[in-house]
Amino acid sequence: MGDDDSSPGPSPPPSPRPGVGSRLRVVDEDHYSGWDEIYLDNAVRVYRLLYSKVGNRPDAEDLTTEVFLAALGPLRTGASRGEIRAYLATTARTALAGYWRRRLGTEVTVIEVAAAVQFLDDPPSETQAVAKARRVLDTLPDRYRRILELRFLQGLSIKESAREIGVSVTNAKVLQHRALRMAARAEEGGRE
Amino acid sequence: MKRRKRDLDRQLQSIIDGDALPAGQVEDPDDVEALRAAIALRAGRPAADLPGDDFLTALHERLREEQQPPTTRRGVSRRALIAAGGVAAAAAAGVAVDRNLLSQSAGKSPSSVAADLAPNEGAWVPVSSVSDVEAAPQRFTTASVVGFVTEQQGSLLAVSGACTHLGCLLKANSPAGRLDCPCHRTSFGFDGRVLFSQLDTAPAPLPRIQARKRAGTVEVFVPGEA
Repeated sequence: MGDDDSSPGPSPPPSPRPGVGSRLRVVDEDHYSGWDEIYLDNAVRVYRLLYSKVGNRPDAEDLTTEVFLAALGPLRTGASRGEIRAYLATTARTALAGYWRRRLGTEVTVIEVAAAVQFLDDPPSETQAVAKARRVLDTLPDRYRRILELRFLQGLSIKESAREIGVSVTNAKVLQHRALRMAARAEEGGRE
Repeated sequence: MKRRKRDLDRQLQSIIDGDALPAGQVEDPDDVEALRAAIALRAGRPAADLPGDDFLTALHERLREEQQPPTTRRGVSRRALIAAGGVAAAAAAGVAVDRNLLSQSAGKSPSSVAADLAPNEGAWVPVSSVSDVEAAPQRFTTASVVGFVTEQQGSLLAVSGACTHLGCLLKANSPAGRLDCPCHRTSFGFDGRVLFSQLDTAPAPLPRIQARKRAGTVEVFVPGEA
């Protein structure tokens, strides 16, 4: 970041740029030296992308494994970083679509390749998903927000949540379903 | 209706608990919306989306292993190689890859390892002509085995034609490039891989059968037909 040295002269020596929070060692700006580097630079990014689509660790791990194993054969390590990320994003899209088809028979979330490449290039900070959930929750009426906070952020059971809010378990369930649907719409509306 | 709600409750609870999503059928758009919102909320717990070091290291190791040329891979079975080849081919064709097959060396589901059908005492039996197999997948039956033989990238591929779940006989779905089980929603590739399955635990891939070309005919190696 902040490389605004624009002094004229002979071309500067290639400066290895440290990757964001990774053990990355890039040979030049746009190419990896081999599979190890491809993996080290992209594994966390691919995992986080998939996690944001399935919301649980075991499935995110399986899908990440699937993506890298599938990419291992056909991917030329000489390809540019951009090409490799595009390939990983496309493979992730296919893997996620297959996952939903097998698991629930319908695609609950999808990967759009352009957005996924952007995600891989510049992963959102760890606080962004938190902030996004917060933003969605803040659009909801009090009781709706409360039930979702208790359930999804704090991990309370439906019984505990019902007690906390002072309603019956049945009502807590109804509240939760309505709140989720409203949250889904709020999320849809707030999508960039 | 009741059942649908119970399924949704179960799925929502698994999202809250951070467990793998249980298999089921979701059709109602409202339920899909609810699940999508639940996933986004769950991902909004601080640091929820960071992978574990154990996982990253294990996958790294695995990828290194997969890259070794076959001669140096004494520890790796031929079956794993076949599986890896299948994965690569599937990726090239843009086909979804079965996760159970992929997680096999993680030791999760031993049943997902494709076995070769290699009888103790067998015989080469002609089942089709080379030109027919080149034109389309061919179903064959011998006294002991039902199977399908195809040609993919110049080499013959023969697999058992019985579902590895309960033994129902598979039907070729050539346009879709797969073998469908008539009993439970499960499909296999012509190379035996599980493409998808409604079952909680995907069945094992189809056993492979040795096949060869001989004087214009395709032969398979099956148990003695005496």
